[in-house]
Amino acid sequence: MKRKRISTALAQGKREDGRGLMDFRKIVIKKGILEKAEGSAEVWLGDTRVIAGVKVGVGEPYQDTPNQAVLTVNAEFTPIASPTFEPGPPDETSIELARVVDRGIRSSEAIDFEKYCIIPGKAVYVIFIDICILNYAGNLIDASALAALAALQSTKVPKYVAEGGEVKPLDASEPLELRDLPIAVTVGKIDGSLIVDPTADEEDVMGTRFTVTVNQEGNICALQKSGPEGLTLEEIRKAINIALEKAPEIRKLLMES
Amino acid sequence: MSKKKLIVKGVRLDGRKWNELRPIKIEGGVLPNADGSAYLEQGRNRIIVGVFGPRELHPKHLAKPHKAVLRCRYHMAPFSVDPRRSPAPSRRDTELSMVIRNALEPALFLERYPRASIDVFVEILQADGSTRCASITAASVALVDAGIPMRDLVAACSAGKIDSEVVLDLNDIEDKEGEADLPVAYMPKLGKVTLLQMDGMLSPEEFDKALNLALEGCNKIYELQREALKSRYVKQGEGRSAE
Amino acid sequence: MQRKGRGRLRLKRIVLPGEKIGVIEEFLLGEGTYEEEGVIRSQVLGEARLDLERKLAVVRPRTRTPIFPREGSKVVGEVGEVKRQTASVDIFKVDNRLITTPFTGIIHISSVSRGYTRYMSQVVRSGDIVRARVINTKNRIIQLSIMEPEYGVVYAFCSKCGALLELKRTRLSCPNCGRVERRKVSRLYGTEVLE
Repeated sequence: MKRKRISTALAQGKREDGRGLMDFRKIVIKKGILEKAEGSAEVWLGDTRVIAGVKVGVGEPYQDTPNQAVLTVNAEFTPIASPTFEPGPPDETSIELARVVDRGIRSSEAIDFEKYCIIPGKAVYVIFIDICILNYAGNLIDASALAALAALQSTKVPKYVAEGGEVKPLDASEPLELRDLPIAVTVGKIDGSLIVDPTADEEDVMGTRFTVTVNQEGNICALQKSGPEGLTLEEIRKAINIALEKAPEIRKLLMES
Repeated sequence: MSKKKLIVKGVRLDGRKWNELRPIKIEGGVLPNADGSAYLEQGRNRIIVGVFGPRELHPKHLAKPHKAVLRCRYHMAPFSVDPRRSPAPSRRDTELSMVIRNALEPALFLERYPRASIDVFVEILQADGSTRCASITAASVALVDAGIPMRDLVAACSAGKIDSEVVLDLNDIEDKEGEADLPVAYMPKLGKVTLLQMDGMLSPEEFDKALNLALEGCNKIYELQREALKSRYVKQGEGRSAE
Repeated sequence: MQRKGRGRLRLKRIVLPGEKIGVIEEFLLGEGTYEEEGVIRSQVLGEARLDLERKLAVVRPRTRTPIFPREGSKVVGEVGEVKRQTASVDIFKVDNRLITTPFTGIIHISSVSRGYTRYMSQVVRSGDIVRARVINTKNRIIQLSIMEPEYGVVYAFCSKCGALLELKRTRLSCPNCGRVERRKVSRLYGTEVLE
């Protein structure tokens, strides 16, 4: 029934909340909302509300990348976000969410991992991005990717120095250097219509979800397709073009807030 | 005993006097998907609470035939403390979930909703001492916001002893370095204490003083809960009228 | 603050749970109130009214009110498992209000019609939407009845092709494959609003 209502509206180029197929809901970005995290941000995408916190510490590098900082992205669906969420360990949806956000940041090389190495093979910066979903109203990927990036923009990295093979904290910090701003744009397909920024109801009836992450130069730095239906090559091209068009608009909002 | 002085010339490190609360902000109805919700700031504490229910309890074997089950979950975001903590629940979280439940349960009419659950989910976005009290204060506002019948609101506040002085509303460092911490939850209209714990050492006289101070704090916090709820549900200038 | 209006004396004010409204010597307990040690208090945030004529204290809530099936509630739900004598129902609407987390109810074959029904599957099928009345909540599960004319199946789907069945006089037939099926149909078939 829900499906029928949504797809009838889409066939006429309309959506339930009155938006056009290519319109995002209202985006609000607040940076630096928490004092105890090195970086933080809150993003509203309509009624979807997420918080990202960045914690920076020092730890051991991975053996295969001894001179690179470690980045860990973790997402949690808090049970307050929806009546259908139960508390418990991360499920596949939250793991996928974290990994899509992670891939965008990693493959755009937004963070210079080599710069954040203190003693090669022994001590590097460890950057944790934790995403906390406070209200679920659809399109968590775009909202979370944006919150993660906004939180990184507000991040102050505590300074450490290497002294005789030991790591010593200095009583100082500097802003995290970000070399890129990868923006995720999720396109949904319902009965052959492509839409951006799906609501929870639209996600329920969506056959395919396709996320395209676009960097500052307009290159694609991450893709993720999910959902039971397939996409034609034509639809893939269309979705990528939509993302290429929408990403700069969102990036502009991010830079202005 | 403690290395750092916590009170210098009668003033605490964050500038408060011994009997002063931290700045508190409470807002009701902040989450569209929850049946009731509240956001609270107390000092640097940032807490958001969502309430769901009464609803069917799953798994069903946990349901009670003659009353609802109140379920509370106290959870800290990984970035809420320094250094980052694991998102998995700790033993402390489990205990706090229980004491929060015990502090709220006397205010509820659980017998009205047999086999159901009422779920109170507390998310600590930033922790700065006395979070269990702040969680109870916020949860109580969220329960009223959900329209769940209650005997009274529950207001909670801590008192404690730092640098040999009894003080109100411990912050993080005072909690960690101080000599005693006494969290109290209270139903102000019914005059009943629903949470009382203590950690540390107090003489009977100090305990008396601390308890009274905490109750004074609860009464002040009650007024703030009241204001928050009224600003959400009562039009300006409306208060008392006859028709 | 009181004033006479239309021959009735009333006092009205906004109260929170726990606030005192009156004492049981003077007033009767109305909706939204409870009594403890002789004092009448509010149990919700709302408008407290003291009806001085009827000696009644009530509080009309300003907040949302909980949705909970009680005896006599009219509910709508989706039929789950159908056994020989019972059918389970995931209730998603209680007294005209939609809920997000369904309650489970059960229809027993004795609460289906006044006549004899041999198998439950003759009156409801899994996936049907039924309208029912709560007849008992005291046991382990919410018991439902679809006996009266307004209760029964309000939407049914073809067990062969899945299409929504159409009600023609007293028969349910499939517009797709022409199959005819039996149900205990509500007189409100096809009209219940589900969203």
